[in-house]
Amino acid sequence: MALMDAYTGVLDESRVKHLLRRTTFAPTTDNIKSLTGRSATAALANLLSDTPIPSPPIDPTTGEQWHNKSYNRDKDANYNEYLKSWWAGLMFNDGVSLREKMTLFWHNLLVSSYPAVQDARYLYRQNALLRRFAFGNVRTLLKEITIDPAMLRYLNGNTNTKATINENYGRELQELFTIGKGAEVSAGNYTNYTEQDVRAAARVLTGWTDVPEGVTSRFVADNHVSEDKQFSAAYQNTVIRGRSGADGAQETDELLDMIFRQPETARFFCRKLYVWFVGTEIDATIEKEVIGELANTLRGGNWEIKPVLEMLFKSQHFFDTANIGAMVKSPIDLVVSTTKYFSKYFAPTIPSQVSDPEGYYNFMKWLWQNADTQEMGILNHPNVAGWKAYYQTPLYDRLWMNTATLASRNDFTDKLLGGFTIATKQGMTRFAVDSIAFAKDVCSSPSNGDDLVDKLSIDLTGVALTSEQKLYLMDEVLAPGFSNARGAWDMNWSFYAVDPDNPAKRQAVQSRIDNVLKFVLQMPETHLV
Amino acid sequence: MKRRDFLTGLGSAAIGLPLVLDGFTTRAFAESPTLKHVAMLAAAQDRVLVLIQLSGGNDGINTLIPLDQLSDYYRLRQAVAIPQNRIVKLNDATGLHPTFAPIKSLFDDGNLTIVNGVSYPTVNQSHFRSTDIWFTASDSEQYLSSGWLGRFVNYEAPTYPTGYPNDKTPDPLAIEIGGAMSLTLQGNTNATGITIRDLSAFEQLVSGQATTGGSVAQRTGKAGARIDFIRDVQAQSQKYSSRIRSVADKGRNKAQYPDKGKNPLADQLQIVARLIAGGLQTRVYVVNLGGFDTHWSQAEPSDVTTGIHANLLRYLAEGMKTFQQDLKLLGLENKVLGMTISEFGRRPATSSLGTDHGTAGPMFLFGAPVKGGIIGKNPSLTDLLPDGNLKMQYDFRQLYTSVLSQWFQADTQHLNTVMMKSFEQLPLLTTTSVRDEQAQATAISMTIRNYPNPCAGATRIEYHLPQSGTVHLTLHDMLGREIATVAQGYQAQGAQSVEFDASHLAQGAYFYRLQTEQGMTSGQMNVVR
Repeated sequence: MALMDAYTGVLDESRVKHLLRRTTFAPTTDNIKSLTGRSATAALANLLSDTPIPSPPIDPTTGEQWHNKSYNRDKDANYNEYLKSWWAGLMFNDGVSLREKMTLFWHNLLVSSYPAVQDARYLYRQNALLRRFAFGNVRTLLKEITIDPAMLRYLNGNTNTKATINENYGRELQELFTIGKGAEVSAGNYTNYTEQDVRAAARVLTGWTDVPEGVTSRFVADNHVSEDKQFSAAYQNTVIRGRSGADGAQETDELLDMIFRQPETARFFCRKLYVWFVGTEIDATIEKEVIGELANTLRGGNWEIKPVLEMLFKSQHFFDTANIGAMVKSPIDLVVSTTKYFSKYFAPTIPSQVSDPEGYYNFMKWLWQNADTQEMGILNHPNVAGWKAYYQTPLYDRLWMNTATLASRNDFTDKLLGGFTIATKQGMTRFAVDSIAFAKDVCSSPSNGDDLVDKLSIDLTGVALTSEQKLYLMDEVLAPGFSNARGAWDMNWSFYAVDPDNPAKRQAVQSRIDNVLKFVLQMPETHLV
Repeated sequence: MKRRDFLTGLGSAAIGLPLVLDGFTTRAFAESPTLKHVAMLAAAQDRVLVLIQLSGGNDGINTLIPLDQLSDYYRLRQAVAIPQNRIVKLNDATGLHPTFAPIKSLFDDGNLTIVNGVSYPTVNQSHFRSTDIWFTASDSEQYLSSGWLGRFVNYEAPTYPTGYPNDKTPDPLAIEIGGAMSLTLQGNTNATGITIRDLSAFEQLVSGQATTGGSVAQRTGKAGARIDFIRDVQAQSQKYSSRIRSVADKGRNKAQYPDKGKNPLADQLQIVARLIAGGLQTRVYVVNLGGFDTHWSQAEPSDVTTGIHANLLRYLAEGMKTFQQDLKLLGLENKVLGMTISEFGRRPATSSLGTDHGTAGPMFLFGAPVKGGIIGKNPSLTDLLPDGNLKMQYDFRQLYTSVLSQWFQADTQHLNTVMMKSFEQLPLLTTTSVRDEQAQATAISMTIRNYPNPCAGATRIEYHLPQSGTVHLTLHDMLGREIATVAQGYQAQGAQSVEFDASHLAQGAYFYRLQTEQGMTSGQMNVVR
């Protein structure tokens, strides 16, 4: 049996959770139910279906769009925040769909950050591009991102002229965006490309610049190097013929085509997808059977990403139990998915985008700010290589966890239950998960303590808790101190159930359910995905 | 090194006020009332309270057996009554359950004070609710969301955990041994303490060695490796872990505790003694002994001196006694006060195999600081409440108030903030409160009262002045805020009274304070509408 063979059985609950956790921000109880017992093919049809292009971000204080207006120096920092809140909202509202996790994947591969770009309109345009290509053609996306105005600013393509060559983008295009650096076999030779190729690529790319008015890019022929560009043996000694005038822009297409002719380029993308979605440990077998097969699909499908995603998420290998819960959950995933999981139970309800846009944007800001504190800021990468957890050997995803981020993660989950304050149109509003409403919804017999702790925790942990751990939750967290903890819980739930408006009786059960949820949310098992 | 454990919420810090005494000599304190006051406060900073929660509702009547009512005892308690020849005599009126007998030497040494008949008006027979009442120090129908010790800690450290630990307070303000923080230590917004799960978790924290505790799941594979990694980060990220580790390295137990796992209470007290011995400045510890909800199998029918309750009493007696021995050997006995609480007692009349929820029960205060002896009478087994339960002799909040005042030297404002009302103190300790000291120093005893009380309109505040002089009589709300000056100026020796109109006050409790040149006294006024 080959690793990429299709998983043909129906998906059980644990595999549905695995699939939803890895591919979406919405592993909610309802979504888990709706996919359990269905085939991987059916689930993938949902995950990969195209969704409408979202309307652009607004200034929630005025309700007006700003991406199509002139640069506004005074307000741009605000617009950047609105952009992030708008994006966090798209992640939060994305249902059973791969779109937003793929958009984020592209953002982490094709990095641009606000501190370098300094124009929120540019970053909105780039973000919309990444989203449009969530299920699109990789080669086309790379052609577009190469002349994307934000990228031209971020990697200095806009200063790359025949008078002053800037190699920044020409290098990162090869090292980080497409073919990747192989072993340095000799000085300046990185197996897949060489320093000569960096210089040649930079010369090909001369002439592009960004245009603030209208947020677009333009090819300035006078700035273009019109001589031939000689590439190394790594690219079969390809020569890109120099062109003058407007035709110089065509060389950029030829550069990308040359890079995409190399088999290693397809493997590079597939490895990136694997590390993002499946795991960080790529041994010889996985390299051959998984990366190799996916790369064949990518090239055979003329660089369409959808068939690759479909093959990956239908494979025996993806659903192998060894891969379930085998990654540390990223901060954005923790923040967005956990809030989403409890979203039905917030009291008061989460502000509506339509009737309280400011409240909505502020709520979404709370999400990305929390992720930021946990060291995963959107549009705020530490550098062009993206978040370390996706490339830094040997720890990879474990890097999300350190003493500082763990405290921030715990602080975030404690606040979901304990409450946090956000400005809405009602004024400063305190939001918290109504854990009793949640408990009643997920557990048909909340008076049964064992059943309750099981249902409270079952969808939260990346690997199932052992029966011993659940007994601990029952005996030491839900109703500590009782030889008959079950009886004590049952009785107190009954007291509450017949008099639900009595605050003391409500507190007696709610504080204990809160304790269980806070405890579970801090367990190592919950930090796994 | 692998730590296969989950510790949660271990924070730490110490409450200690700055030692304002540096530079003063002991002689100086004795000579100046002000400095003496300061000295007492400083000594109080060094004092420790260990609260032992007996969860489930301890059967006081089988803990302390009323030798003066044996015929009623045997009539009512067939299922659990201890045969007369097995009762261990504490004094002429009171006997001990045979497994509780180890406390007799504590009692004989003057290191145990027993307070009979402790409860509160209108006992709630729900475990959770009644526990919440004891934890929050609320009235039966009052709903409070913070614990009495949490408020006590918050009074001096209102910003905790922000800014903690710091140079002045490097240690946890409070420590609870157990899986989840109880309401006792819940402050106004945050928990005011940290938790250490159990002896295994503690040993692991201290030694850095892997242990396998009951709640820890052994896992393998990629997920298991990550769980180990997260547990390591958790152990490192306990704010106070390095401090606790270094203190535990210095601290050594000197008494012989029962083997680990043989006595769950002694296991916990062993940790507490070691931390105190090592110099941890934490002033409040909460430990738990559960299983007192003995509806069934309280005693073995074949030998009623054995069974669940017998084992629990053995744990309690052995635990208190060994802990006290340890403190004495360590030279710390004057520093530590122990107190037991239980959410209610049990009913005099037994059911078939055990006892039902009751009302009043005995509380134990132990350690060198206690006065020793018994406060209150044996509960009457014939003069019962209509539901067949014991009558209350003392409100548990009188004991809390007494401990805060006499042990921690809390002043009136502090007491009112923590306890919300004023409660008459009991002479529990050899140490006395600041107020008592002042009163004794001038050998003046003043009484003050108002009539009618409760009042709706006019009431008369009456008091007796031992000497003529300047007086200042003020009225305060329960937070200690001054509401009105009732009388001020020179008054003659002897009986005095002032008319006061309470009709403009909101319903609730108030206290008034009479300051004279000889000292201060106060009383409580209840306003009803």
